Amino acid sequence: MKAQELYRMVSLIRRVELKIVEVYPGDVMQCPVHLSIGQEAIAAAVCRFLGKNDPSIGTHRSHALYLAKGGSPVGLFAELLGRINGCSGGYGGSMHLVDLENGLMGTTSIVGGALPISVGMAMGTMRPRIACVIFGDGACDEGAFYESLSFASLKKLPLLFVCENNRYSVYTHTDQRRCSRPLRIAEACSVRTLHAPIDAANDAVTLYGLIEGEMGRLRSGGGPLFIECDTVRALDHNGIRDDIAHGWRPAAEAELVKRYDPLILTGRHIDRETREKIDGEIRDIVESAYASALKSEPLNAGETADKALFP
Amino acid sequence: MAKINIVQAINQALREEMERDADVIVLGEDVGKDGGVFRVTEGLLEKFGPARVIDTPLAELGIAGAAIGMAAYGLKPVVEMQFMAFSYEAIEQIFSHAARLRNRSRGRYNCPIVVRMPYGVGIKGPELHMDSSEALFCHMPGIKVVVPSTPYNAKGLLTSAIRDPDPVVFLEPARLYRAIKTEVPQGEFTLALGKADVFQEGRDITAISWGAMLHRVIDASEGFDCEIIDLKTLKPFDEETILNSVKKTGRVVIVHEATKYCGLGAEVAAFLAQEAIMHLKGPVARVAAPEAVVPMALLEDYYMPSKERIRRAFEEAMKY
Ligand SMILES: Cc1ncc(C[n+]2csc(CCOP(=O)(O)OP(=O)(O)O)c2C)c(N)n1
Ligand SMILES: [Mg+2]
Repeated sequence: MKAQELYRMVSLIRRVELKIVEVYPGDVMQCPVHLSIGQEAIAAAVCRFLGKNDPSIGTHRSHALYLAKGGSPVGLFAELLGRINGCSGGYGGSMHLVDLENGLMGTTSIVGGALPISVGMAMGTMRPRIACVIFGDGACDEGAFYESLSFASLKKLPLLFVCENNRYSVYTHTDQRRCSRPLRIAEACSVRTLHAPIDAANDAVTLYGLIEGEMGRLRSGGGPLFIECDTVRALDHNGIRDDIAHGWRPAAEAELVKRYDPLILTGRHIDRETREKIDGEIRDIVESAYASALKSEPLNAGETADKALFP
Repeated sequence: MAKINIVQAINQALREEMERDADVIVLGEDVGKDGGVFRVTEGLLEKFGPARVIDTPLAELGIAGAAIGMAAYGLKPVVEMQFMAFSYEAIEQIFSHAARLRNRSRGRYNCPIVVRMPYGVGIKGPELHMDSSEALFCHMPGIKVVVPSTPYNAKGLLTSAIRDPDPVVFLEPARLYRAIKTEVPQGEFTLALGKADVFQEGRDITAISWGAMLHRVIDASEGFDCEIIDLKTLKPFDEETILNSVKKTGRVVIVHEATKYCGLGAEVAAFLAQEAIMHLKGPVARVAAPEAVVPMALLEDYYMPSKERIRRAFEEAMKY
């Protein structure tokens, strides 16, 4: 049952992202997008441990987090389309998603910007709630990364750090930017760490099992937890191009994308019939969500615009 | 002379200055192999190698600080911030140190760094990718702020900025990067910092702007006898050129894409209130962005000072 639910989420994220890929060339979404394809399993597995009351915060690449946290596909599509029904009123776009009902306090385009805020959220939220921040390996280059870990550890906060380590900041590889893995810094700050290699991190069911025990300790007051998930970005840093094919990342990346496809890895845990049934349902949900988002009012000039500017 | 765009002009300025002066170093996120978000530094790594074109960690504070340290040892670093708002991460190093080293060391050393950054609305970016916070940098003593409006200006001003002994924030109007081409001299060529251009002479209104807004003002000026000033250096701005113009026209409209409150227009208006009050026929008008966070693409035109809003300000000014 759990495997089915996890697969359903991975499938939903994938389908939503593919819908964006499909409509994007038509310029209906005048908004940069950082797609989660290739990294879907992480948010899917992690968010299974989070309730609506557990505050979470993410980055520029947060479609997966938004959906896994329970956000509606309509709200996401409408946001990208600049419609008032968007989860951020169509004002903030792909990188600035807010869905308070589901405990998504926000996402930010400032790399690393969410980290210190997550510390405060963990301080503000009451046990047994936990706070969660998801970020890329690039965010770990910023000084705020260390500051946040150290502060969270000092205060033994109920804070979950999830690093989606796709090894790239745009097209610059981690080896050109960092002297050690992000989790080494967490260890130095006496934060408990878990490392999920790519075969685990890109399989929602395996990842779920891997982190289950530590998630329990986090929930029961064991102090912050740091999970580093090795993964791979399937498409371009920003937009829908295949940057590997364009030579921006080495061809070996394409191998990883193929070998560790989260949809396939997660799908292995359930039978084909169930998989196809889920995929079919998801396809319908996503198609109707997109159609419904298109019906929402655009933020045009005039009264709507003024309301949008000054909420 | 070849016609080139701003991206090419800046690239040329960097390339030529690096050829001339081995102390010039380029550093920033993705500036090397990738050639930068807007491809401004394309080809520099291949030409000058990784010791002079440095791909850095994703860490703006560290990048700015490293540049300051290099400058203290005689290098002339040119830092790229991917977007203006990302420089907020580096403000501590820029404000607390770069801006003050000359003063702090009692003039014994200075800080010849340039911090380049794309800025401004009009590229269909989301918030934090289209900020115009020039006034922030203008406010801090010890920093010069420069904004080119054309490829010609971009090359001449950047070359001067690199040679300037003090920190220069070099703002590149992202909207203009590839939008216009002008003739730009090949080879060494500088434009003095602190000097405005009278882009067009006129008798009735002095219209003051910079960067991308200059082109809006030019568009809007049809039918008005406008003297159009391109400020080019925002700090310190060219008081003399402004004053001479205002003495002639008596009417002033300042146009900027930053929000109005404490925007640079306020400083220019205050300057005129003090130095030109007897020449003014009416209030100094400012056309600026609404007091709000930059919105997504659909609202971009509504947010930006439009041709219509600028024309209305001209009409208002002509009532005096
Ligand atoms: C403070 C800051 N600096 C630079 C950027 C530009 N930028 C946006 S995403 C990105 C790469 C981030 O890499 P990572 O954190 O690993 O996330 P990924 O894109 O790989 O998911 C960069 C450099 C930014 N948005 N904010
Ligand atoms: Mg990354």
